[in-house]
Amino acid sequence: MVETARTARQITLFFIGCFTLATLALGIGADLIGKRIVIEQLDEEIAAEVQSLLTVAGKGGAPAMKWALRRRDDRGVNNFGYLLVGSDGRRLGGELATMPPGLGWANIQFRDPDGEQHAARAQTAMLRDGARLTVATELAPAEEMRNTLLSLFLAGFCIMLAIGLAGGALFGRTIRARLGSVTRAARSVTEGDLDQRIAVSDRQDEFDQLATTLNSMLDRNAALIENLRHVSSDIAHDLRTPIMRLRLRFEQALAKAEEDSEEARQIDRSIADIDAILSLFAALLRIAEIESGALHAYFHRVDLSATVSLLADSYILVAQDSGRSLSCQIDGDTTLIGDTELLAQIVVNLLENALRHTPEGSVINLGLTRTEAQTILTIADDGPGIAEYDRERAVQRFSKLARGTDKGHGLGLNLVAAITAAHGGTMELLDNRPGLMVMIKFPVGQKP
Amino acid sequence: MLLIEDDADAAESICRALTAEGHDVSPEGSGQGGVASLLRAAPDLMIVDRMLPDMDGIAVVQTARSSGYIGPVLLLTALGSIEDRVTGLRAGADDYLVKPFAVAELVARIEALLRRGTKQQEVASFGSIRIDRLRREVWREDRRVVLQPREFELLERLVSQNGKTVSRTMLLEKVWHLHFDPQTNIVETHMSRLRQKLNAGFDIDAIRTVRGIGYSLRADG
Repeated sequence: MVETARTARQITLFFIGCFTLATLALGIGADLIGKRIVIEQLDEEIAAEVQSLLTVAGKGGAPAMKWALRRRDDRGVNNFGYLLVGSDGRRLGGELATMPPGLGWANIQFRDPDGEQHAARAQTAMLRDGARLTVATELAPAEEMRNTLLSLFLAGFCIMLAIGLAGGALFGRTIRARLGSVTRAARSVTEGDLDQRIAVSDRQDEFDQLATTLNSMLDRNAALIENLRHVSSDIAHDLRTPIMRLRLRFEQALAKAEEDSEEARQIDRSIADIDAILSLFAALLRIAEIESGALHAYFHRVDLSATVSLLADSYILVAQDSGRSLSCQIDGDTTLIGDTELLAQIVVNLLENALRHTPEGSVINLGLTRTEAQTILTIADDGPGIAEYDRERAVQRFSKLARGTDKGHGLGLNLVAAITAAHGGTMELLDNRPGLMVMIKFPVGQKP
Repeated sequence: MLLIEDDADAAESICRALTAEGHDVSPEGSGQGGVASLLRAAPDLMIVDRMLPDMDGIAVVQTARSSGYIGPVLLLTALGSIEDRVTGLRAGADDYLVKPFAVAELVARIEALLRRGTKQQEVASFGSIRIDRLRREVWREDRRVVLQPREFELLERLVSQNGKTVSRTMLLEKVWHLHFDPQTNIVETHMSRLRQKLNAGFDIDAIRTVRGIGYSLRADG
């Protein structure tokens, strides 16, 4: 869920980022072009005015020019300001309050009657008698237009950004909602609720197609698991019932047999063999049951410290009796969501392995440590250990490595691995230098 | 005692063993017959097979409980899965035994179930052994015996059974809460220590080993 939210947010932010950059580039481009067009237009108007005044001066000389300037300034019919300066630098006409600029085009400052400074665009031309005519027009209206355009553009951009963000959030929420139902269903199925399915809407969009595909996969999985359960229970019934009869008959025969006779010993051995077959069978079924995930439904908070301590106390004596020693370091208050008995089985199997595969006089260490993120169970011995290339094989079913006398059925470590995985943990076989260390790590504070 | 079991051979063996122990057993071969028999004559105890031809043993247990039967129920099953045990106990069974089992194991469990209802005295004794459950103190005749917690629990189980056999698997379940066979010497180790402590200074072994099944206290010990 968190991952989905992150992905949706990243996609949204990425698109908004691209969109913003593109819009800014567009805006800056439009502003530059707009500014140039406006200036060009102003320049054209100024040039036309200069040309018309030069024509007046050509016909009537300086007096006609002065008269024309006065008339224009008085009537205020246009946006132009004028300045006519004689070759000696004296002002001959026009009311534009500025320093006379050089010939040609210039951006100038002038003062209005109220004394305020304004920016203006000006062209200065030289008359035949050496006087200089400057025609200027204020830039402010053009700037105003540019500012208005800029404001409009910014407002539009903000609106689009808001729509983009809202759309992104909606997009994220939709994805989250749709994928959320997939995640929830998948999680429930993993936890053993095989009937859980993903909701499919009428829209028949990509999500619905995905949901339909996943649902049919889940259907098939459920059918297979159900089939497996049936087979297991059929085998259980069809195999155990005759074995039950067999065992009962042996028991009756044993009751009739003379005590300590060869016959009694044979029957006794046969019963032991039957029990060995059943114990193997039980272990296989148990591994299958644990791996199916069906037991998650019965998981609860387990006081792991108490469970491990009880077994450790008891096994200290078992180890002593077998000529080995067991030392324990167990952190208190370690809890885990799981099954008490399965967790106990991990400890029992590993301790039994350690006792079985080490010579007399060996030291076995049992540790239960709690860190912030993990609960770590270690069982280490100083016996012969397992060679590195054999460690992977040791975890597989029916693996019997040449490690001392082995009276087990070769499923012990496989069962431990299955239980560990069912609790969301990991198991590692390490070199204890010398000996074997089995290290099991469970994540803290989360449901497996 | 009512036995609901469809396998005739198994039913016969169970009946014979229980009758030999002085119990009165009436066998039924189907769930329906069993329920009818249950309603006709309220038994002291029910033994129900999980896989019956006409109905699930769980349903029989639920029917028995909902019709007001409060006696002990022992479920027999060929399944042996953890889920199976949990559902069985949740449905109202008191104990659970996976097929195939030693008949002696079944007898020991039935004895324990029948004793379940009797009130536990603070001080109990059997043979020469006396225990104080509250103070967790033990005497053999007049001699105080100091035991470790696990040893006391083992002895307490034996005393509660009044000389009847307590199976090794029952001890694993009650003392160590292990419902699987760990193929371990854990029971033997503790039992041998308990023996040493109880027998120090006495000629007779207070505990009898019942071969292949478990242990009991000697009445003459």
